[in-house]
Amino acid sequence: MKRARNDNVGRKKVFYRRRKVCKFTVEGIEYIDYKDVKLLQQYILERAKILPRRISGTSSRHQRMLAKAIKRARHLALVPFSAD
Amino acid sequence: MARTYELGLVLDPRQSDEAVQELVGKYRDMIAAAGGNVTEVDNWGKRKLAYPIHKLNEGKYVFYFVASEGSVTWTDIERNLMQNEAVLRYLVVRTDLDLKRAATKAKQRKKPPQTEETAA
Repeated sequence: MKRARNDNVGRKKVFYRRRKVCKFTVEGIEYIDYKDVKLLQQYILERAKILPRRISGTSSRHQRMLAKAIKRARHLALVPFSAD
Repeated sequence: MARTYELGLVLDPRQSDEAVQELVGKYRDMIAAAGGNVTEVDNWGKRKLAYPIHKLNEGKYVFYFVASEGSVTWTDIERNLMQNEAVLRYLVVRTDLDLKRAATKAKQRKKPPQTEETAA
């Protein structure tokens, strides 16, 4: 990745950001089950929000599937709506 | 045309296991009457709820896996579930389309790498 010229001589600041990968794409998961609480919990923040894909790197398809699964699980009280 | 569904129930934890079994049987019959065939019942037993429902902190979870030649008419079943005090929550999900798509995608995934390799 090209960065703008860094004029601070001698102070090279290069950020290596780990490339985010979609876990579901890598593992070939094509259906996210709302009953799989352990999996869903990995994508739920402390405030019980759904982890945004900008952070998790989940592909858009899988993020949609994930969101749906989480919402279904919420209805059955498998997963929280909000932190208490 | 064949469809598959899942029915998830959260039951009042104060129901005895026998009462739960009875309810499970009752809804199994209702599903059968509505044109479905219960292929599997997954009884999770008592589980902590993620949030209290009716001031209860636990629920007994039961999941039905339903297959159907045509489709299942859920309206009557859902009405009954809604009126049943022992049922804290229920969820009916149609799964055949998603599962079928997942199966074809999985197949596609297996194929392309081979063709790419031979082409390269």
